[in-house]
Amino acid sequence: MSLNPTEKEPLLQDESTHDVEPVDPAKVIVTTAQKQPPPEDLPSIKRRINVLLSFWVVVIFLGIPLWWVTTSIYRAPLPITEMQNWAEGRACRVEFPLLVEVESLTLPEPESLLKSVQHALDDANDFSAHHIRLRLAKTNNGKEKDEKEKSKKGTNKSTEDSREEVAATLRLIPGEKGSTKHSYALHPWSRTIDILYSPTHKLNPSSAASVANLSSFIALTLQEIFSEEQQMITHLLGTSGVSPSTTTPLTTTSTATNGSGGPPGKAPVDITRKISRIVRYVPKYHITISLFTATGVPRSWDIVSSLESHFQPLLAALSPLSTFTIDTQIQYYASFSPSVQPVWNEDLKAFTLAKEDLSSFINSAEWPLTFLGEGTAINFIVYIPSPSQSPLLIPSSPTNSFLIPQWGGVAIFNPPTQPPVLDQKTLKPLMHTFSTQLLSLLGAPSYPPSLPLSLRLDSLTRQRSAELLVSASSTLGSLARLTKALPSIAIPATVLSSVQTTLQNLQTTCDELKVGNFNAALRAGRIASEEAEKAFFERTMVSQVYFPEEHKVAVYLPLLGPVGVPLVMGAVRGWREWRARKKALGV
Amino acid sequence: MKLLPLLLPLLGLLPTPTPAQHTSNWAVLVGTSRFWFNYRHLANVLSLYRTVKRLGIPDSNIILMLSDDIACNPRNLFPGSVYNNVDRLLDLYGDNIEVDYRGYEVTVEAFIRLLTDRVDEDTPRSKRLLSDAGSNVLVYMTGHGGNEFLKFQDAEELGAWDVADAVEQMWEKKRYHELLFMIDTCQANTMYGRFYSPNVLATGSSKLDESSLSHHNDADVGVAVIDRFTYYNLEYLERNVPNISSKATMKDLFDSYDPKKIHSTPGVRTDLFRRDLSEVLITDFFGSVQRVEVDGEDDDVECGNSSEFNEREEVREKVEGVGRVGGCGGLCGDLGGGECVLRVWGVMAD
Repeated sequence: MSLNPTEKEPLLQDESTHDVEPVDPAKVIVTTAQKQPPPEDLPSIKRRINVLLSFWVVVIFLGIPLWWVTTSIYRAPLPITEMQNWAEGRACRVEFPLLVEVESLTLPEPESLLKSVQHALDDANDFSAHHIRLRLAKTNNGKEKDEKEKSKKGTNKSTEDSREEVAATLRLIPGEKGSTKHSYALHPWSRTIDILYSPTHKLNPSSAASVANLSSFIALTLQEIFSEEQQMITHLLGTSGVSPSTTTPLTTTSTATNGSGGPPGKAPVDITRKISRIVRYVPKYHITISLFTATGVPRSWDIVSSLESHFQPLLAALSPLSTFTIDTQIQYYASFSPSVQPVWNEDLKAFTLAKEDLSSFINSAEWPLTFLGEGTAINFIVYIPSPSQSPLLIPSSPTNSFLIPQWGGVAIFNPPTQPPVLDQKTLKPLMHTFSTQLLSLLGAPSYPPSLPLSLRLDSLTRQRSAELLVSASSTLGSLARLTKALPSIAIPATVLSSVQTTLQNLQTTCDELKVGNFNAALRAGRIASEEAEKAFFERTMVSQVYFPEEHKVAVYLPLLGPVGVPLVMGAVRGWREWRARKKALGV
Repeated sequence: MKLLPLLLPLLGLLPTPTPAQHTSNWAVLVGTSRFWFNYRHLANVLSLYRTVKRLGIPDSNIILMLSDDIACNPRNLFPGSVYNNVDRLLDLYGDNIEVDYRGYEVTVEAFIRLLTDRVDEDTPRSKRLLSDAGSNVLVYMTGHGGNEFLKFQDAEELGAWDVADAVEQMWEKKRYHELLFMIDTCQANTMYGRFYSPNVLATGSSKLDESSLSHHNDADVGVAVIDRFTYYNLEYLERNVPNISSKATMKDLFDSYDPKKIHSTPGVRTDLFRRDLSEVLITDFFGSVQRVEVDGEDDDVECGNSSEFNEREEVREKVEGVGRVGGCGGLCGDLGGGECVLRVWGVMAD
């Protein structure tokens, strides 16, 4: 029914008047006014307002909280400042105090000698976090002999009793008659350093000049022995900002030399090269020893007994640091990469490989060298060339072997005959080559060359503790930055617990290092590193989809639009009417 | 939210001990499309796979993600084979390929998890990108894409921001030394526009509002077999990088791009990359160069020259330990080289 009386529409009357005359619109005068609905009485207005308000109450007090709770992401409250403190090195002053006990059996007044040596060491040490502390061994007459016995066996580790761990024991022994210089010697079986002082010192042991001479020699010796370790630790800590220190340039401090080509007291080691060579520290390593032969011989090798007698002792010595699993394989008719061409050398009467060829020696497409189990893999390969390319030599290597950084080593073996089985005697030198390479890959210091295994492993323990401390701290820092940078990813509670464990263990590591319990520090550092990695690589923290704002509008508008428009318009209208009513009342 | 990534470069540039040269190479090759008519995308990825394998990257360092529905497709007239050229001289599918993510495993989530290594505990090693601070990573992606997105398996999209965030997480956790991001899709250059991490070099096949085109069809196979951008890349690599010792640089590769031949405008992004492109070898990313150290070469003790050393020699012999194997072979007397080392170290019992 149209409200406009001038439209040409038949006015619908009630049913009784069905025969309506056509009406001429121009002659019709609207006589009836529009009938308005009765004015709303107050209860109806109130009811309408209440209905509207009830919708709004539900929206505000039920809807919005529900939406907030269901769309908010759980982010566990990580201790960001503490994590950042660790990452930037503010939480812990890392220290590596090395305790060296000195036994002076025949010299008088050892205390003054010790003092001057300590002075010399402290003066020369640029990196205060790694320092050597000297202590006189207990010289009760009855106990002195016991100390000597103990130090000979090298059992100066403190495990059961709460004695501090002694890094090395220094013995002052008179040198050969007729030698005018001091020298030192290391024992292959213990942590003892023998300082053989020249007899001229013995003649006047208290003169200041000879004391100064001897003490500077001792200081340089100690520095030299621990220098590679110190350089490594300096590099690890200095380049990461974990502890405030200056990176030390090689300096020459004294005129006394020790026969090495480089500056006295400093190991001539290229630290960056070493760092790119050593395998990252993990608690479990897997070693694969493979025999690749270009023909069908040898059929087999006596590897099991070989490993047991020549390789396992080394692994047993390394077991406090990491565990090792070994497996072995033989591949027949295995040829190296086709791009490698050995060249016949007339002088050596052998085929030689150029150094550039060594880079692509390993035929990774054909040789099955992938390890898919747990732990980092280190591969050692024995390659036996075919008779048409024998003997195959690497000219610059006396052991005919080379090392591939962070991967493993290769030894080329030229058997004089073509034995069907490689027996233990033949394999012995190969096992030794691999032992050397393994220690190299693990990062044990190799300077000075006569350093005994026990000292090397101690150095490695300290080095790895530093490495773990640094890596766990930097992981925490990365995690802190990540949580701040990606506010839309969820952080589950497991991450929080991992982070707390990491922080605890980092503190333990730092405390143990300060006291000198390096093995305990390594253990705590391992746990800290593992937990930090677990926290960072939490699988639910994937920021997968980035929602631009337009997408959010596109999602919410069709849902909330049709519901929201009547509510909003209703509210607006109600507000206007209320204002009008108030005005009417007020006026 | 959008401002934060701008601040992140400041945080990401904190000093970290990165080696000057890379120590390993990884390749992540992703084919994001499926169905028969996207034959060419699979052929693209498999061609790159073959190239990096030829240049020495082992399978354990290659992550290959394919829908893998081409070779055994009922419509394939040459079952079990995938070709990238009408002459069909080279079968890419061959008998020595290792696909790590197949079929419906290739998803955006899988890709992001792969890059950031946030995987399940029981994910096998072959499906993880185990790169470290010294690894150069090549990421190659191909498929259908658009303005700042890439379509995965016709079902979902990967955004440019997501890749940029994933790469930043890789940088935070020191999972790459340098990264080369190569992408061959329509409007590909938009995908690398959002990177903000250092040491990223990116190249794409076409710019905004431009399509990347296929190179040629094979009438028997029935569909296009290779895309133009990838074709010309491969042509350069096959001609100028025949083996691992090639000294061709990335600048040469990028200079060889000819928009007239590629029929689209390829782009290169170098602002985040620290090195000069003329010093970056192609084999830095596409091949695997292993530095070797020959035993006995780096003697850190001078042998037999200085008198002090001779004196030490006497001392040493007295103590029963003998010198280092290698350059000081004479010191070891009648012992074999390896033996003397072990005796010094106290490992070997007599």
